[in-house]
Amino acid sequence: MPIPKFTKSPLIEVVCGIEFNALDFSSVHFGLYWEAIKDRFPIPPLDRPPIGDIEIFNTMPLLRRVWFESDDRKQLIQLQSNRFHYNWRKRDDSGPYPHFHEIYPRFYDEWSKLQSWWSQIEGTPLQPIRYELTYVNQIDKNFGWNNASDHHKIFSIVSQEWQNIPLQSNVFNTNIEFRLPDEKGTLCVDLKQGVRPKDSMVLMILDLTASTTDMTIDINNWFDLAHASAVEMFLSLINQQCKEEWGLKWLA
Amino acid sequence: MVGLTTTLQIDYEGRYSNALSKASSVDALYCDPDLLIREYFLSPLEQRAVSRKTIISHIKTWQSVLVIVSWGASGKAQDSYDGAINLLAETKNFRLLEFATSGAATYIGMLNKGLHVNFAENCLEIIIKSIACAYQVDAKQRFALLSNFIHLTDRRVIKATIIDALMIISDEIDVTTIRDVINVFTTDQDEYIRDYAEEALQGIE
Repeated sequence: MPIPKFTKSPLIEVVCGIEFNALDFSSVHFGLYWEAIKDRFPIPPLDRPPIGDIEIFNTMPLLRRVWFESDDRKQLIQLQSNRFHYNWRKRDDSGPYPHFHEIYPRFYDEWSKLQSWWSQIEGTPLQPIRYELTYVNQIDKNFGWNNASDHHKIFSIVSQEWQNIPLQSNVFNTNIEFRLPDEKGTLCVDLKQGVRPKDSMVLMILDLTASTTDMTIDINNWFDLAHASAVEMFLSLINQQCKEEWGLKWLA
Repeated sequence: MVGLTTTLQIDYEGRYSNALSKASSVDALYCDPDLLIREYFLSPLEQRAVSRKTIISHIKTWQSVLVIVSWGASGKAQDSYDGAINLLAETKNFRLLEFATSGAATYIGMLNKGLHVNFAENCLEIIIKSIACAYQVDAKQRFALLSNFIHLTDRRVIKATIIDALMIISDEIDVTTIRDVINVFTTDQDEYIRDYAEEALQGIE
């Protein structure tokens, strides 16, 4: 199956994640886990607040989420008592961005290692309850977007009529949710404007997040489906002229 | 303004509550000042110069101000001391400088704790210099904040920093006012500070 590849891509982050049930997860495990992955993620861990649903009845403070970063800071593992995320991040403009088929095996490998490690020290399995795949794109003036009036230049779903609205648009944020094929979860498209801290450039952030709580599907099959759906959705959202300008090619 | 541009607060409770990923480390920079600060200090020096104006505009709480001060004093990043001063000095918001001034009490308390003395001194220096260098805040307001530090401690390095700070703002407000305050240090019990203050007064003249 041909693979789409852009010579100039707005993709800056891919996040593969699993929500799970783990019996007796405690703060001790963060340190033990770092010991196990320190050779690949040596940067001193960073504590963050946990994400996701919050337990209402809790006698103890919530456990943190911990960031473990690789030396080049391109790879990030986020671990909390019920979540594991593997992030690949573009850190500079050099080199081509890796394809999903390079990122996913790294995620799967780290997830497998986490499972083995947990099983070894606790003697119980981690029970997955949710899968999640996110693509983060930043579209700025280098991609032909300067302000909200330019949405129609980028997106096929915004008509040319957009230009005829009498006042100039200032902010155009939107959120659309789609169903994945065969009820295998949802794909959420989130479009929001922002100002990039690094260089103060105004830009548009396009997040595509697929998720499912259906654990009857094989993990590899689901991530393949989520990836294919996200790519297909991205290509559907972006208009033809942009695809050409961004150098879309189909690799065999 | 750094961060997300929005005129509408959307409540994603209900069926959409799980739809959006909070796991993106890139998106997190737009809503988590602590991460933004960390990214600033871990970035190359030339990058910091580009980003600090927007980063400081995203800082709204006293906690974030103290995170900046702490990064600056810890030496965990390259040129973190100057990086913290340069970042705080870009603020237009008097409240942030007030937060820093209030936070100074914490570091004063640490000056008597052996292990933390250097860290506390660095923190106080950063706060004092940041206030002096915050060129977008009215000089009289900055002077008022600096006045809080004059009798705060007997530490030589802090007194010298206050004199430096007063010198920095001396061309922005009435020189007589600055001279009067520096004069206080000419009778200091520490000879070094007395000499330092005398030199400063000569510099003003």
